[in-house]
Amino acid sequence: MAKRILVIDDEVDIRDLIAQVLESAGYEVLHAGNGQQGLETIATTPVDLVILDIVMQGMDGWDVCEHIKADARFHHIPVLLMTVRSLISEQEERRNRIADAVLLKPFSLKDLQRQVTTLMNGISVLSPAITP
Amino acid sequence: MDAHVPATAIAITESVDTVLERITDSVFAVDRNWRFTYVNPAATRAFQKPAEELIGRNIWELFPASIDSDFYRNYQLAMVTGEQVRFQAYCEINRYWMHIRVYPSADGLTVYTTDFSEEQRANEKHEAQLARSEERYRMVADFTYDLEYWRGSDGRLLYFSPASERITGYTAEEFYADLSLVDRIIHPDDRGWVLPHFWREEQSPSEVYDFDFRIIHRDGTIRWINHSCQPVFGPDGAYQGRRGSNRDVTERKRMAVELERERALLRAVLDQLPVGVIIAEVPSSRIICGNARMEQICHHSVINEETGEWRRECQAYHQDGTPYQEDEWPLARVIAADETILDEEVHIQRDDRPEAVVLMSAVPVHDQEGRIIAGVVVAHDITAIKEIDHAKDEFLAVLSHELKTPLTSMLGWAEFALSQSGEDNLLRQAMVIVYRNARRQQQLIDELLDMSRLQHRRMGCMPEPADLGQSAGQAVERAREAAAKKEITLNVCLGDEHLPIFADPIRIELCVGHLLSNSIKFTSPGGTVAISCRREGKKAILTVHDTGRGIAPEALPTIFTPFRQVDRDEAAGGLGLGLAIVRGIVELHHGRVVAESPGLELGSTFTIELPIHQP
Repeated sequence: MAKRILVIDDEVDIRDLIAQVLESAGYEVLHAGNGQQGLETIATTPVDLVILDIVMQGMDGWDVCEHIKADARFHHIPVLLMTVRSLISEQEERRNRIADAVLLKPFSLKDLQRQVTTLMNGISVLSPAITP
Repeated sequence: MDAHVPATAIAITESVDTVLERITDSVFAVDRNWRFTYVNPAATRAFQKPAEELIGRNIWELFPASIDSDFYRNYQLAMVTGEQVRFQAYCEINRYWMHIRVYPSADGLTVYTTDFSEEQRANEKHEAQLARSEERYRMVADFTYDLEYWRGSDGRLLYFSPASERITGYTAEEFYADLSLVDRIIHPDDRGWVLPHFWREEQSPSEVYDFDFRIIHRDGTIRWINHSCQPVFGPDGAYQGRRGSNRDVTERKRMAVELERERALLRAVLDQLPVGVIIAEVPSSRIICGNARMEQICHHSVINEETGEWRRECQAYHQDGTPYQEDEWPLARVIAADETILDEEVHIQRDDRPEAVVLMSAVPVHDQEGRIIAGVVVAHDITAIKEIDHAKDEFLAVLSHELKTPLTSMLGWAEFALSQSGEDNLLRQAMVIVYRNARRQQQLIDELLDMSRLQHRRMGCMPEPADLGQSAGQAVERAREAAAKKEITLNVCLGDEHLPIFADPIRIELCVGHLLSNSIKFTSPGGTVAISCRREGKKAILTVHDTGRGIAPEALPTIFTPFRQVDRDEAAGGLGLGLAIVRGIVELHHGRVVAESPGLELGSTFTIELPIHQP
């Protein structure tokens, strides 16, 4: 059975791009247009990976990530956080560390695929200590 | 004794006789023919003859030398007029001074004499002293600059020094002749209080006076006079008058007025300044002046009325939030250590008012000998600027997101399209162009955002033990494609030596990347870009050398300034921010970056120095 990936981003073009790339690579991709929707999806459908944009209307990516990591049912799910900021503040850096990996936007498709593969294989890219 | 005289009368007469016999004052009586009728023992001593030789004898026959003396005239006067006479006289025989009282009666005269030589000698001595001191006083006063005067106990003007003419325009003689001249030359506005003052002075002679008033000089000008005077007393404590001095203080007054005007001007200027200012005396810490802006910044008046020191009811915090200790305040440091402080960021908080962010500078003021005499604190309220900064940060975050989100789609979809384009060359070429330009736009946006963060000290830095060679190696890998495209040889000599640094590896890689792309950009095809790193003592050093266009000597000093590109042309392109970002990041890591070039067309060398990390 194909591994299932949930993409949470309010930018439909980017969501579609990620889906296109990952589906081509053999994954099943679920879409969510905002944080709330994403959390609802996780609660109803088992997923193997969450790809999450930080800046979104309503709940931002950090909040969604904190929810996932705080919930015993889901905290094992690796989270790949997408951000547009290359040089970030310390506070942002701290919040990023909750996630398993960070992908800088704009990203190359190769980077995306490499990160996804790594996380699927159970290797945390960013902070191994947090990985369940 | 007469038998008819009553017993009591006899008793009184006997008592008087006894007293007269014993007293030290001389008492004698003469009849109307100047013959002695009574001489007491003291009188016999005074006349230096026994009573037997005196009684019944004519006084002028016994003492012919006294005829025409004061004694003779006064005794005659009493005898003729029948009135009491008192006088003082010097007794040649006994060489002493006497008070003499002459009481005439129907029988003749009774004379009482009292020796007061001791008293008289003391008086003579005092008068002589007084005369001498007066003489000396006049001698000194005649040559003094001030108008000296001396008035007797009756208010009479006894002396006016010659300086009167210079000070008032009137000579001393004119004042002697007309005492009211003194009153008339006093300025009409001051007469009201000065004249009663003079009157009171006469009523309370013991007081010492010192006050300023105005006179009108003979030439019509107004002069300020400082008047001081004190009473003079004799050895017996009797008031003898006043000595005083009048000094022309017009110039001093004028300077005081001018000084006051200058102070007012300084205050007005200070109050108009957009920065807070406080000037404190050293070492007392007393505030000489503080302006209105400073009071606004501190939210209260700046001078403690009791101590005269800087009143601080507000709390100050360092940038990291720790409170300032008393001795940490810039003014305290200037006073204590003669320190100069430039633009120290101080966060000021008072009660529940919004925090003020202030840049404080403090400088010592020295006298000619180099001693510190004052400290000046200048406070520039940058709260509004900080707020704008914050708004700018927010704006940058939004801008960053808004610009990069469409770029992410463009780049991603272009890359995807390329991977799917197959053999359709024209479509593939079109996608390559879209992709390349989107990449270029991304770099420009990154540079702008990085520069902006660096300038606003908003670039977070996550240092960790890292290796300079490793970061450089990754930057080299990223630069290989660009170098190859321009047919530039990339000489890499990073060595095997571990160069431990405490740094954010992503940012160091970014710096090296900027240097490499800069060198590639300004080197013609066929040229060489060389990168190497090494250790020199406690420094890790990375050098990027190229055979490119080089830098003109006059351009070297500003090479790291934002938006300065040495030679802007279309081929080079870019915003000219790369080197400024390099310097910003390197300095954030306590290092430095240097550019060198022998001249135009002679290539250039960029060197980054970072401290070696010793855990």
